[in-house]
Amino acid sequence: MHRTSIIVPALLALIAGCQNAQYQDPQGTTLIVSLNKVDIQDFASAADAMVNSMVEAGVLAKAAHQPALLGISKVENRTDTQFDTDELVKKIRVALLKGGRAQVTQQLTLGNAKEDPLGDQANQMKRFQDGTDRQPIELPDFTLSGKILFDRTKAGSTRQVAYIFQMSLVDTATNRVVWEDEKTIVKQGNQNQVGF
Amino acid sequence: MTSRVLASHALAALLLSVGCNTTNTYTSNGNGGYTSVVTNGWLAYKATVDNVREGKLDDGTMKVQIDVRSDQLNPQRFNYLFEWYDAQGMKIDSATATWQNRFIKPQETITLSAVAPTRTCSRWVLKLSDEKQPFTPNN
Repeated sequence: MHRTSIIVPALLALIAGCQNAQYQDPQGTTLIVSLNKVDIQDFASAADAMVNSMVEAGVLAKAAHQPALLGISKVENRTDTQFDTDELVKKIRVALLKGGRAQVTQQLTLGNAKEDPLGDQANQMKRFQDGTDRQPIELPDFTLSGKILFDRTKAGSTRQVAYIFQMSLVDTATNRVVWEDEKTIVKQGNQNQVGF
Repeated sequence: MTSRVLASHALAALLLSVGCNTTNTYTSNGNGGYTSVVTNGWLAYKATVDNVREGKLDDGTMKVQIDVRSDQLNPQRFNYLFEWYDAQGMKIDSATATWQNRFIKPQETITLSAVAPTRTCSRWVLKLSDEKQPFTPNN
């Protein structure tokens, strides 16, 4: 009886457990699901849907340059939480680059803000030294833009949040939107949860 | 006797909470078909692969659509992940790969779609795992 009185609470404590910090697989199912913010798995899921849709549409494969030259335009965060939209955009860029489908240009950037200023300076100096600085710069075949919207609602104690990811690709030769897609992620519950 | 019963119940609760959620794996055989390794019968009962369609995009990228059927009489949830491999059997990592959660209605068949991350991918692997908790409308 004494043994049981020790073993049973110990097992129950193990189940309920005080949990020490642990590393988690960023692609796994043990991540926290939040009702008040966009989670990393939401960004990955949205980026995955966008890349699949963009590749399936086949517009990048028809560009004059191969891989296509991409300019990154405005991607707005219109949710009620603050985050860097690169959490989405960088995943899309990496997937397109590693897949050999597109490369991002620094020659033309929004507000002339260079992601890598030193790289840009080095390019300008090389062009000057090579005598090619008067030749036209390479312009992007497409520009990528988007918005992240949200919608929050409640029924009794159940809360629901929807994050709407919208992205567009403009063909710079025609100024036409040649690809667009939208991915909505809806989360519902009473409180944040560990794992899904 | 009572202590043994209590201890066995506690052990059962522990096993139920930490164990049993193994992954079912479906692997393309390179000829439009697939092989399956089903280690979780409960999961297979609510999400089992019915049909596979493979195709190629204009640029040669592989695309796959997989029909998944539920034999359950209640709504269910499950998680899935696509992995991709080249002709040499090397895994090709995707920057956007992540486990995704899907809802499936009773006796429903849904389609999971994926496009290969590179043109060199020639085989896919679909992994299915059970959700963390049994489905209730609020989780």
